[in-house]
Formats: sequence, structure tokens, C-alpha cells
Amino acid sequence: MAQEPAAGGQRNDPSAGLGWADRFCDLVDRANSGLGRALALSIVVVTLVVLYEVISRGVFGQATTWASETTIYLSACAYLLSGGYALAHRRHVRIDLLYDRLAPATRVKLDVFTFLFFFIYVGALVWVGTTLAWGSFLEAEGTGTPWNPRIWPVKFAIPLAALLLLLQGVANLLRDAGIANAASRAS
Amino acid sequence: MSIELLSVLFVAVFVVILLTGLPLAFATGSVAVFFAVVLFGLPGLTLIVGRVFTLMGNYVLLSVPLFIFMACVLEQAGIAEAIFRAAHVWAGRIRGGLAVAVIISCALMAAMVGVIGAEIVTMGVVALPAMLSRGYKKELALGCICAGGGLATLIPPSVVFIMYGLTAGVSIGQLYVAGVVPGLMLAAMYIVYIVVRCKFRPDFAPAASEAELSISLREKVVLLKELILPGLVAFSVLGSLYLGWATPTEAAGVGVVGAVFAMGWNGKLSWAKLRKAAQDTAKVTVMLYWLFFGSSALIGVYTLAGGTKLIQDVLTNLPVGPIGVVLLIQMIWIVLGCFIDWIGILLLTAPIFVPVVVALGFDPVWMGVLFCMNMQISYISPPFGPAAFYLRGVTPPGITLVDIFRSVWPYLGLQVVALGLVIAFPQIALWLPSTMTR
Repeated sequence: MAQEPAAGGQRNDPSAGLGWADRFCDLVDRANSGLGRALALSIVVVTLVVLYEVISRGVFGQATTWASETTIYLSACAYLLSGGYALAHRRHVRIDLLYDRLAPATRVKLDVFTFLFFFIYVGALVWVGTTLAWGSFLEAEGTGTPWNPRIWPVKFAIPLAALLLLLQGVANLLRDAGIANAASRAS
Repeated sequence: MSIELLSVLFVAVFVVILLTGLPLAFATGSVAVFFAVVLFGLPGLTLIVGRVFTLMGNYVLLSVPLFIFMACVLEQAGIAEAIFRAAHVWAGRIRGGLAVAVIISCALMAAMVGVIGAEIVTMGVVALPAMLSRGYKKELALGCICAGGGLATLIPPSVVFIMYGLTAGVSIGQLYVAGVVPGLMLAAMYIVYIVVRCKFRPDFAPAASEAELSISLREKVVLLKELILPGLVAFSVLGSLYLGWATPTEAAGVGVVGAVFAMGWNGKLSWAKLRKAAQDTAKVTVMLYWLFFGSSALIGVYTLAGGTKLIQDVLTNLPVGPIGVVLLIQMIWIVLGCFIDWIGILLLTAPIFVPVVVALGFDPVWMGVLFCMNMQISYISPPFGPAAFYLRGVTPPGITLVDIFRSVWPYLGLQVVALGLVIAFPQIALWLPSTMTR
């Protein structure tokens, strides 16, 4: 059941008297929202770099060595790391034909059950992702192109993104189960 | 464990988890992790992370957010409204002219937008009240918006084609060019249906009003001016792909710049609007990327376990002949389309089905067009057609989801006929790409 704050009425005031669960959910929402909104702007940078590449190749006949890899990995990392942002907004497609017809109490039980599956996926990404990224860092692995940048920052984005997803998944579960205030502060 | 039994287990676990409401992206990923560990032990997990990393380095995948960004910028620029105004004054004289204008607007918008949603919402806000207030029957007004909205995924730049091209290893440029004729054919079929229907059932749509009949040519031409820039954007994107000048990613990047210019031209350019477009892009793209990671992991594990080969052997050896296999695949897609989003169907079935039809001697580009046409059906078919839900979000209170689904049947019929035509005459799709410069 919901943890009641010490004094009644404080639940409406976001600044005071939040329980641990509320504070945790709040923090995760804000972190993922802030990160997601900031990373969303990466598309503007990507557009400009693509345009630069088109002009430099098409007009000056001089392809850059760095443009395509920069845009590919910038965009991939940005959207990977925004997984928690999309989850905060519940934007990941799901099949709701059965789920939406269930009683709220049954839904919570299902949420706990599905969380286990969610956990083994993102947990595997965090754990194995870190191992692989660490290995890549140690051997200073490159991409093998003429520019050949180090690739480990991109590999570390996988476990980091999975961790952000996991935190958001916990926050959403706490809200759905009524342990934290249901109102999301994700923006 | 035999691979047959394993396949049944795969599907069973996956379906159960899907029905419990876990997002598709994580349902696929978790089933992949589960079976990777059961079948190959902990080293199997390396495969899953490796798949994610491989996809991150894909150059074509980069065109997905760029095309979505282009569409979001055009949406913020109010292009859809401008197109509808112009289409209305030009088609306004005929009976049912507003419904015809909706289809024309949707087809034009489809040449700039690659996902369904935005144009359905816009038409629901702009065109639907206009039609209802003039006494158009609900069946006509609702159906044409749902059906027209689906065209976005058949007429380039369609995101469905990018994802299909990535999954099946087919050229995006060829797919885009192949989608043009079937897309226009479908739009033409909708228009003919509306005009004929209104001719025989005059109560469906009232005759054009005095005001609509008396618009001067001068006014009509002035309205066209607003279409020049967006038209140029759409044309340059498709044109540069057709002529082989640019990769899809470059074409998309240039398309974004064109869309920003169109925004400025309409006097709507602002940093706030661009940021809104970037955030809308992120929400859709993130969802697509994570889905891609999860399904790719699942298909990877299933293939390594030998399952993909099993299904392919079964399909290839069916005693129904090559075209029978194609028809069977269409039926599987139609049934799945009633329950799962296009992206889930594509990512989970295309890696298995496309090699089969290629082995049977068919063109994978043709198969991609069939997939897109098939998904037109899934957008509007009850009980979960997403087009209906997009429209329901903006309809006036008197209109229910049942009204919307009742209105789509004639269009569903036309879509099945069009699908049949492209199956029977592959040239409808393949003629235009065959003229491309390579």
C-alpha cells in the first residue's frame, strides 16, 4: 500500500515530506527526462554534419574521414541512452489487448512478473555490456576504418543505457504498485 | 531438445510475455536472454550485446531518425493544413470533393512523411469538422482519413521500407522507388471509390456549396504557392535517390534542411518548434531502436539454435508451389497485423520469410512492397488498427471507435484488391525501379 507521509496534505506539495520511494522516482524521472531532452538535440548536430559531408563531397569532391562514423555513433548512443526517457513517457510499444482489461490489483501482480523478465534483459546488458566495454578499453580497440577512433565509449553506452532503463523500470513499478506517488514528474 | 519442440517453447514463452503487457522491445530481449542462457550458457549473452553493438554501427539506421525529424519539422511548419486547403479548393467542385481532398492531401503528405499518425491527427482536426459540418456521412468522412493516413508508409520516404531494407538486406533506394506506383495506385482507387460512391448515393456527401464553386482561378493558384517548397523537398529527396546521387541518409539530411527552409518560408521557424520536433523524433526513434535491438537479439538466438532454418525448410517444402508460399506469408502477415504493430511483425518475420521467397526465385524488393501494402490493412483493421486510435484521439464526442471501424470496410476491400493486383502483376512495383540508373 501507499506509504502515507507523516502529516496529511503534504503529498500535494512536491518540495516537502516525500517518502523515500517518491524521492527515488522523482530523481529517476528527472534524470532520464533531462538526459532525454538534451540528447534529443543530437539530431540537429547529426543533420549539420550530414549536410557538411554532402557539401564537402558533392561540391569540393573531398569526403571527410570522420563524418559518417561521428554521426552514426552519436545518433546511436543518443537514442540508446534515451531508452529510460521513452520508458518514463511509456512510449515503448506493447500489446495491451489483455492487460488493459484486467483489474488494477491483477495488473500489479503481472507488473511484478514482467519486471523479472525486463530485469534479466537489462541486467544482462549491464553485466555483459560492462565486461565487453572494459575489454575494449583495455586493448584500446579501434573501429578499423582509416580514421580508426577508439570504440570503447560507444560500448560503455550499452551498459549505461541499460542501467538507466533499469532505474526507470523500478520507478515505474513503484508507481504502478502504489508504493510511490502515481503522478509522474517526467517532462 | 529437438528444434521443433524448442520452436514451440520459443513461441509459447514469447506470446505469454507479450500478453502480460511487457513492451515488445523488452519481451523480445528477455526471451532472447532466457534462451541464450538455457541453450548456450552464459557465453550466449555475448551474442546479444554484440547484436546491439553491430546495429549501433549501421549507417542506414541513421536515416530513420533523420526522416522522422524531417516529418516532425514539416508537421511543426503546418504543411499538412496548407496542403489540405489547396487540395480542397482544387477538388471542391466535385461531389465528395472534401473526401477526395483528404486522399490527395494524404498522398502528398506521404511523400514527405514516413510514419503514420501525424497526418491522421491533422486531417482529423482540420478536414473532419469541415466534412461533418457540410453534412458528409460519417462512414465516408472517417474512412477516407484512416485509409489515406496509411499511405505514408507506402509512398517514400517510408520508415517501414528503411526497416525492411535493413532487415532483408535490400537497397532502400530501390524499395522507395518501387513503392511509388503501388502507392499512387492505391490513392487513385480510394478516389475513384469516393467519387463513384457519392454519385450513386448522393446522401453521402452534399453537392459543393456556392462559395466552393465560385473560387476564382487566381485564388487557386495563390494557394498552390504554399505547396512549392514542401513539394520541392519531397521531390528532391526521392529524385536524388532515384538518380543514385545520394544515400538514403544523405537524402534524409538534405530533406531535413529543406523542411527547415519550408518552416521559415511559412514564417513558423523558431528554436522552440525545432526542439519540439527533435523531442518528438527522439521518442519515436528510441522506441524503434530498442525494438530493433530486442528483435535482432531474439532472431539471432533463434537462428543459432537452428530454428530459422527449420521454418525455412518447412516453408520451402510446402506442396503449394512458390506462389502458394507467398500467399501463405501474406495471410500470416494479415493475421499478425490484427494483433502486433508493423515493426514487430517486420523485425520478427522478415529475417525468416525473405530468404525463403528469395530462394523460391522472387524479388525481395517486390516482397517489401507486398509487406507495406499488407500493413496498410493492419493499420485500419479492427480491433486494434492504430489509424483508428489516432483518429479517435481527435474526433468530436459523438463519434465512437465503432463508427470508425465501421467506416473502414470499403477501404479494407480496396487494399486487399490492390495487394492482389501487385501479387498478380509484380511489374506494378518493379517497373519503376528497373528504370533506375545504377
